[in-house]
Amino acid sequence: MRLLTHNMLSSNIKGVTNGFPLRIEPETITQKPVDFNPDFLKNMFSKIDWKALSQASKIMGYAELPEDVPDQTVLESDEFLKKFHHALLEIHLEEGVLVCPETGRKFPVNKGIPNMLLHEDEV
Amino acid sequence: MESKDEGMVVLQESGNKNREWVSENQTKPNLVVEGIGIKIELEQYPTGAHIASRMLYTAENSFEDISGKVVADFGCGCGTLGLAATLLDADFVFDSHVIGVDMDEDSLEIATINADDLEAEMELIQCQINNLKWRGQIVDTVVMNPPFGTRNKGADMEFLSVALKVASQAVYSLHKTTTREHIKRAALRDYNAASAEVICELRYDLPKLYKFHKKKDVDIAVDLWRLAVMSFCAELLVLLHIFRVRKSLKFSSKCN
Repeated sequence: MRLLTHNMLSSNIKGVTNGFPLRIEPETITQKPVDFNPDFLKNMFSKIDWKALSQASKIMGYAELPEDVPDQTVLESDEFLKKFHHALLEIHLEEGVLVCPETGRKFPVNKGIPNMLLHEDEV
Repeated sequence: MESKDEGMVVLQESGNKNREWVSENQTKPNLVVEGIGIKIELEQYPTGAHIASRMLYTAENSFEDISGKVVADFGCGCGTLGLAATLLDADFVFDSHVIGVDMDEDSLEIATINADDLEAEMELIQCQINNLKWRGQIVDTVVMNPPFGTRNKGADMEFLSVALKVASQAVYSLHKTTTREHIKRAALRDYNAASAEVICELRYDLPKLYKFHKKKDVDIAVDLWRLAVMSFCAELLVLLHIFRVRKSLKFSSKCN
């Protein structure tokens, strides 16, 4: 699971009002190279929840992103875009759990696939 | 009955029907779709490689909805549509980032094997579509071959409604031609789609998979839909328009 995916996943347990972001408890982390596409990143920048990304990235062992939302002007810097690219697309959570911020319910991640299935009493 | 949409392409003319299927069988890549315990309660039917490639090719070539985009494949099963989206990249400059969603663990396992075989990168999430909650509209395009809703009533509409919520650009979906009117009405009226168009009519070659299938193979008429998502600006314009109409109505009633 990439951090791009983590940035949109939300806990949808019945009664939960704020299921985002899911806290990551990593066990195995892998990295896979992806082609660098600055236009894609510039477009994604406005859609991403920056705090969730920078925190998730830190937990995954990559602390190169600024904690607070950077100014739009950073998009002109290739150095910044490359860090953003790496955090968003190249770091994978292979094994671990995602924790619902409100209920503490754990969603397991096996072989890179988060299991977001809900139990009957959670729907 | 609604007249055929302009510009609709009927991919299979009756004259060369047989030839078409022969060619499909020949071009089928070695994806694993058969030989698994297919689950009827989930209405699992494999998407033919021919339909998948037509769907993704049209989405990219006519509408630029695939390359360089975040694409979600709802009810991805063995990953045929999502993987077709990643394979399109070979012809284009930019990678698309594909996320397949399915509730069935066995299907996801096969999707993983298929992706590895094709050396394609596809993210997978195990989740039921009607329980899916995604923050914002990070996904640009949703492609899907949802359950037709024959055995599990309303499943097709559930997929459609969620897809139109998470996509920022467009949804491509296959539905039985017999449900055309219903889909159009629901998409525009209930799910807030900006437009709903059948972009081509296909024949879905359904092999005999389940015991209750009486005939050996069945051809089902299927529509390939493109549903455009209402953008925030478009929504504002619509509201503004309604406001103006109401105002002018009030004005004219005063005059009378």
